[in-house]
Amino acid sequence: MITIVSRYSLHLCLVLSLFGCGESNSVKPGEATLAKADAAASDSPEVILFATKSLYNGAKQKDHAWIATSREIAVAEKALEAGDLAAARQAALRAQLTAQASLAQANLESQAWRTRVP
Amino acid sequence: MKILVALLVVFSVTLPALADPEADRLAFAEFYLSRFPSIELQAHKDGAYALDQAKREQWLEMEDFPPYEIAVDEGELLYARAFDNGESYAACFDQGGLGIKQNYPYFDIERSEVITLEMALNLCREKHGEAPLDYAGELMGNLTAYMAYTSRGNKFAITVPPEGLSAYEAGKQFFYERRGQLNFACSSCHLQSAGGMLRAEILSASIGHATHWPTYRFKWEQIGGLHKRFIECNEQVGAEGLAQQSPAYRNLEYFLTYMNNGMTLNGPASRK
Amino acid sequence: MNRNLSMILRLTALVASILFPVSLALAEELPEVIPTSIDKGRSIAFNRNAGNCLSCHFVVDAELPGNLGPPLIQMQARFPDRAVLRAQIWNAASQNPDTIMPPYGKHNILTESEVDLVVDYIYSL
Repeated sequence: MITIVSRYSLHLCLVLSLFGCGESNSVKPGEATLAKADAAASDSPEVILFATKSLYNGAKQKDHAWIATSREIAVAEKALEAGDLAAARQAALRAQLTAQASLAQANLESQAWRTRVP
Repeated sequence: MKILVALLVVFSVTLPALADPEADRLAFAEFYLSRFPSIELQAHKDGAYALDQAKREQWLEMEDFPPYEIAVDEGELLYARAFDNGESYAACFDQGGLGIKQNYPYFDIERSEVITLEMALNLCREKHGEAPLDYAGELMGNLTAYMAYTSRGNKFAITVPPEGLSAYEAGKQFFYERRGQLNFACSSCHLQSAGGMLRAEILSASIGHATHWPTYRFKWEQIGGLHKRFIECNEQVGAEGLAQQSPAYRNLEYFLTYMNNGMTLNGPASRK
Repeated sequence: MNRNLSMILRLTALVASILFPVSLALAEELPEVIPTSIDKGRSIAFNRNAGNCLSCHFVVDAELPGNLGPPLIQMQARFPDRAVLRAQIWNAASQNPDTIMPPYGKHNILTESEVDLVVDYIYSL
């Protein structure tokens, strides 16, 4: 079950990252921001955190996890334990953004590295 | 016809994977020769100290009392100590393990993986019924310091058998792949920007990066191996470091050391 | 221009505090100067754990700046369109795929409002 969810999330993230790439040439950037993620996401920090962890594990499997993601996941979990749902939600959203960006990076770099070989 | 096209497509996609390590190495060396026309390749074994005279003089003064000397002495004692079964490390290596570091890492065809010197030491221990040493620990640092010391002056002679090409290629990919939140590849700093200043630090060339391990780093206040430095580099760019001796780091070491073929070993060394 | 003025004021205050320690005590009772967006942007830009611009860029009052990127001078002449400067900080790779400049916005190194503050500061150089 967890594998299915994680696979699904991975695809979702790749799709999201494609949108991100498509917009990256605009002068006023249209990439994912915390405000947009805030507006788009479910209200429950637990739900955001669950999805984010599977994104994070996907990046980790590719040796592409970021410190910022695990740091914000830890912040979110601590806030959840303390019962501060608003803080937990913000940290979970920040973790989600970096988890998505790290997977997009892993995906892009799986080919882009070749351009740097002398 | 369709099959033919499909085959062609598959072939052209897999073509870059048919790597030519020696062509890579020559292009790599050529890059640094043209980046630093007044510096001979061998000089890069001293890293940033090859690129800045003032920093070099400071460093040479530090080297008057080498901070890794104790590790070499301790390592020599450790190396000679017999295992419980009466055997010792010497039984596991060519030439009794002395003066052999230039051949590591190598690709073990039977195990189908890259074997570094650290891993070979632990495989030796396991073979003789001893518990493996912690890769990040002092004992491993001392042992490898001694083995590096006995290999000083030798030149790297890494080989890549056909079976090892994919490990080599994985290491090469790791070297050129951007990672971490800051989006740097190893090559971003140590190839593309080599010689540039990151604040007051000068960025060293990767062509000398394999020669001097393990290294006493004053910042660490201890001797550590190349993988400890990999972790530090990865974390500096906001990426999670991997485990020492993880397959990805062993592949990276394999590629990097192959790029250092012909370079003279000068480990252990000290760095700021 | 504003920054120069505030710099002169700060220097004057510093010199005065050394020459007349009593006046420092008086100054402390005055309400604090509210930092401008340029001041805030400057502190983000100088912070090693945030913008850390000085790692790679020369800035006029920086100690030991790096040189991997171009010096941050005459920014309004170099970027007549402020939005282009902002896009550069957000994700420099959109203009140059080989750049080594970290994508501050795209990778959420800074928040959107932090990027805006840094742009305010850089644009004042």
